[in-house]
Amino acid sequence: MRPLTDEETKTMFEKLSKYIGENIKLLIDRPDGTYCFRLHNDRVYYMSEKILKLATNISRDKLVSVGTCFGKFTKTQKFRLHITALDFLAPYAKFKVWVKPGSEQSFLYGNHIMKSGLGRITENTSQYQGVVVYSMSDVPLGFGVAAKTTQECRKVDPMAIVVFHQADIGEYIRSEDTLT
Amino acid sequence: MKRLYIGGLGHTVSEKDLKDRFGKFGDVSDVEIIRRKDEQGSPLKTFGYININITDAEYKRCIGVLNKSTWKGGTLLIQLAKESFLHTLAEERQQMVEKTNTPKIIPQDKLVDSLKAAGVENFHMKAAVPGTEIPGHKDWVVSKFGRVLPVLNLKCKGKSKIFKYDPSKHCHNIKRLETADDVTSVSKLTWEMEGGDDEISKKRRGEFPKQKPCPKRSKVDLSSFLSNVAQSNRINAADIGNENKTVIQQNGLSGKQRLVVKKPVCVLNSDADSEDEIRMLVSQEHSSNPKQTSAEDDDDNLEVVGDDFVVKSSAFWGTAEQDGEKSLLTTSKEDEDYDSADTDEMLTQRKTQKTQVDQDSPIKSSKNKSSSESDGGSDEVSDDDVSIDSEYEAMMGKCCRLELSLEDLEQLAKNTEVISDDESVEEPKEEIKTPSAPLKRRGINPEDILASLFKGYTPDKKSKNPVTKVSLPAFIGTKDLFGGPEPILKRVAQSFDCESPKRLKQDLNLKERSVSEDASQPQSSTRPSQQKQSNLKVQSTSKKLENQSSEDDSSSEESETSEEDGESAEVVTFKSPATQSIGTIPETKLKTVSSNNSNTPIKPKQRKISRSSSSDSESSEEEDNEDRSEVITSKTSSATPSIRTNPETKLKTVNSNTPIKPKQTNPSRSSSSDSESSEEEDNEDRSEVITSKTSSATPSIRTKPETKLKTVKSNTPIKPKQTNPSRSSSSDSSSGESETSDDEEKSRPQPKDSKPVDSKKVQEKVESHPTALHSTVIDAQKQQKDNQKRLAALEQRQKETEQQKKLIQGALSSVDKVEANKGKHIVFDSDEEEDKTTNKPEEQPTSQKKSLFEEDSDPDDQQASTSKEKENKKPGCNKLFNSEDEDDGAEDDRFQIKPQFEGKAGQKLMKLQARFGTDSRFQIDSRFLESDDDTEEKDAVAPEKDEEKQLLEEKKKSLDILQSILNTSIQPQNTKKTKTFKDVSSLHYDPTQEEHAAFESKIEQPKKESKAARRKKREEAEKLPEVSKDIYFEVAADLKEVFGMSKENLEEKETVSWDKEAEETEDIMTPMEVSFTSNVEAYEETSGGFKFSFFGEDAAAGTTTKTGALITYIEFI
Repeated sequence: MRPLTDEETKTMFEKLSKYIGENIKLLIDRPDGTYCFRLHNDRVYYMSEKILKLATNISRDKLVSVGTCFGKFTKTQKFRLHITALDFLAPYAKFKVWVKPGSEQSFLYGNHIMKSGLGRITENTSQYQGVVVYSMSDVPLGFGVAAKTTQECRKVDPMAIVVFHQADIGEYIRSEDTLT
Repeated sequence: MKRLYIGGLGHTVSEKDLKDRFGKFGDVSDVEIIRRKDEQGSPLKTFGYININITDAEYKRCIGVLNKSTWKGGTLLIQLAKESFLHTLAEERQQMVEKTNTPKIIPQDKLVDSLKAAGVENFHMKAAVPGTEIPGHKDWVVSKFGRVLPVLNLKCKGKSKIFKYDPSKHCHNIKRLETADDVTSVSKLTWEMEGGDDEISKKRRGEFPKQKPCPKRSKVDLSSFLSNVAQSNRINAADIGNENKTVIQQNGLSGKQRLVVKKPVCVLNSDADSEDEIRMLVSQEHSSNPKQTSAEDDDDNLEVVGDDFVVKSSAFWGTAEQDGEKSLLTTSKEDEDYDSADTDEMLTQRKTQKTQVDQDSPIKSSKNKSSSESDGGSDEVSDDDVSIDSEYEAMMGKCCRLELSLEDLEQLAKNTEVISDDESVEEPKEEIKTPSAPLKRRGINPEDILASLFKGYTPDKKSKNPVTKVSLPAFIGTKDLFGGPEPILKRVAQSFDCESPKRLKQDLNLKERSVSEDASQPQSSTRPSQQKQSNLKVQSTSKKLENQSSEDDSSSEESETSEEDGESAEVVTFKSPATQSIGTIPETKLKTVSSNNSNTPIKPKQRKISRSSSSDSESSEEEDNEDRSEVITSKTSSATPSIRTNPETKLKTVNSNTPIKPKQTNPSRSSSSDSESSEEEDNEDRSEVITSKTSSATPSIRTKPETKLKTVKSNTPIKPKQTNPSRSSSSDSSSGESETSDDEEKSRPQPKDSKPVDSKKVQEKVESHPTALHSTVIDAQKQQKDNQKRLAALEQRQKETEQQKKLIQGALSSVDKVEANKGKHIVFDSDEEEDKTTNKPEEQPTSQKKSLFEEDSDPDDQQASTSKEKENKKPGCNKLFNSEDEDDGAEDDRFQIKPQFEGKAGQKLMKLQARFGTDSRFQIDSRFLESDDDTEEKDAVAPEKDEEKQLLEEKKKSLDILQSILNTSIQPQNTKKTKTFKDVSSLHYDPTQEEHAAFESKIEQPKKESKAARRKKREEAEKLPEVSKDIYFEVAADLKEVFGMSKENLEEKETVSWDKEAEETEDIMTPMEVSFTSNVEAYEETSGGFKFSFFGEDAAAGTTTKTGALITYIEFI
């Protein structure tokens, strides 16, 4: 477990900023204590200082997970967000997409969101903007990338993909083994 | 009708005088006299305006006669004045009304009429050869289709050249208009559909097989759902356009769409998250989509929300389960709404929509084709038109095109008309004016206008007034906190800010408050006038002082005027010059009491003012009216006039007469040390001498004497604690015990600890300064007295503290003894405390064998006192060690620090030993200690700090990176730290906090009173029955007489019977008598509980008589 390098921090923040923008600041600079990001097994964990200290007692090979996993660095040093980060992304998300109950399941199975399943969308969503997906009852379901701007979404036909799937809470079941 | 200005009128001139005077020259209709008055109300200038019906000759004569003539104490100046604006306004409005009444002449109509006269009907001239001019209209010609068109002068693009455009010569671009009736819209055209009986061609023709009811949603899997949607889409498309082409297009498209749809589904499973893949997907979509030009309006279900859309429940964070259940319950309904499988409904919806469009389209097209062409409002229509126009466009492609519709022509006509004659230009403009004029204000008379004007104005005025009411914001739940904590925090802070002034206000009028708060601005305006009045030279500093004094004056004025009536106002007016004089004589620096007294009729009110002013200005003042004398001498070398609110607020609190405790913390406590100030106080006389000399006076210092004054004014019993301004801060600390210790430690030049002579010296020091000298001389004797009293009080206090110390010592020792007797239960506190205690001897390394907690009884020793304090902090270990200490000598030795345990290494050794118990075999001695133990220990402590540092650094670094990414400046965490998180929901009322006083309701006091009243009433009510008993007594007296009579008779008869038949009575009566008496006794017993003793006696007497009566009765029988 080690702190992130500058480069890693940058890539991760770039990724995160797609979803929550400058609200990353709120993750780093929390009023309720010191929180930090740590890299372990190519995964980035977000934890409080207290947990960090506790985790130092566990050897590296035995440590499976600590704090909240935000995502992992791929072999090509790209950062991929995991669904576990949703808890921290959802409250700060800038752009949101609400999915109709009918296509909720489809999304939770890992499919993209079609226009037909789109219930509500934040205005001024630009293309390829990271969005957090909510159900109509405002339960965060996952996150994705807007395939179309809000304006385009109005015009586009019902079968067009509106949001590309990136992670959903269905992964907790589907990829239970890989999620940490 | 002329309006004349008449200046230089005498002050006594009335309107009638003017009217008479000018009546000679003409008919005077309206006279208006304006009098300018200064503040005192004495007239400065009088002039007037008259409306006079006068000829020019008369006017000249009038001017010749009256101008520069003296009349009633003034030299007249007559000039021609402008019309009263009200009058002009009225006239204007009248004109407007007249205009509106007159029939409007529309140029267009005029033109049409004139054209009609020439034989042109609706811009058409039948049977006219193109190119013929219209008679009477030189620039109107007949063009193609017999249409009458204007000849235009067009300006070339970019060139200054103007060329004439004769429509008759370029008539090929003119479309036929009147064929509209026999034109059928494209949508109504019938088309022959070729093709066989197969399904597709049927569908192309718009014949569909009947839709099967769709299976329920629960069964529909994704693929079927998708295909369903696709199908519906196709069907819709077929339905929408009746044309063959579009149908084919749509079909092809939907087929492609299907492909597209399928593909992502496949891709999805392959975990396509990376951006590259997404890009690929997007590009695919792009390649497929461009053909899809006709986009439908599918807004029906899609909702777009703003950035500030609040997620309605913090569903995910706790209430998620509930919501989930809810959604489960509601899904059945919602599903029907959202279910895309329910294509039937959607289909029908679409159909109706589209048919509507179809119905609309022919109308549109018939109306004006050109517009629909250019607009292309609905895609459907534009498609149709395009197909039609394609031929026409090809034809017309080459010729110079000028599209003209009928409306355009009319517009043109209007324009030309405008150019041609000027008269018609004006009229439309007037028309334009009318709407701009205020419609609501109908009034034509000047009065009406005035009224309307004022109506409009007054609300503005009101709005200008500062809104002083502060209300607590409504409670905001924690829900909002979730959304954004910062704004709410702000709000809370605001509310708290609002509360504090509110609290101060409580006893005062709101108005006063608002004014005084804004005092700085309006009072600055008063400054110049006052300066004018004071003719003396005023230095810059004195100016400022004066300014302040004026401020204070005004504030006190306001408070007074609100409290009192005209009298106080008088006082105030008198006072203001007085204070000025104080301000303007800074050289003398002395204003004796006598002078002040001679100047001012002293009243308690006034004293307040003078005091507040004198606190700022150099002045001294004494008043003996209420056995209270004050000498305030303050010299401020460089006074800055900023921060006036602070003293003002204090003034308020004082006026409210609330018992003020010196909680007003002085903002600059350090500066107080600079100011040499002393102050005497007498319990009876309460004389104060505040002499503050400040080398660099900040406003905060200035406030200090003021506050002092206030406290005095408030008539609260002031303890000697508060006498020194510098000490007032110390008095803040509540407990006297800690205070004294503090006081002792603090090095202070004030005469607090010193002897009577000392304080005197200080006084004399002050006196040595020229400013203070006179004032102190005045009541030196008083000061002496006061000093003595104060010192006595001080001594008493010191004694008290010493007593307290002793008490504490005694208590501690007694406790220790008790502990020693028990001796068995030793409670160890946390290790930290142990460390501390062990650390202590290290501070005094000189003493080798010093017991751990030997009490040093010397109170002057600082260390002892500190150690004592520590002892107080840790009573647990204290007890422990003290008990051992005084118990017996043997144990005493054990707790003496052994040399090998000294220092940090020693500590460590002791710990190690402690780990292995007291067994000597396992005892670890110094050999086990590693050589570089000390450094390790340091390291052990250091890493923790380092870690924190590292974390902080990390945070900084990450913030920097974030900053670089976002290209925005992110505030450093310092600001964060200052922000204290306040949870609104967990706000509890704390009576000790002053801020929370706002939450208190003030209804309690009257209740208490009512309770007392009730109690009184109850008591009174309880007393009442006693009074009634007296009445019973009187009644009993009557009975007594009655019974007394019978008794006498009885006795007589008894005696008779006794003589005659003694034996018989004895035989019969003895049992009877006994029974009776017993009964009577019982009766007495029961009644005795609630009767007076004397009444009881009577009753007893009564009973005896009764028994007698009974006996006689029996005897008779």
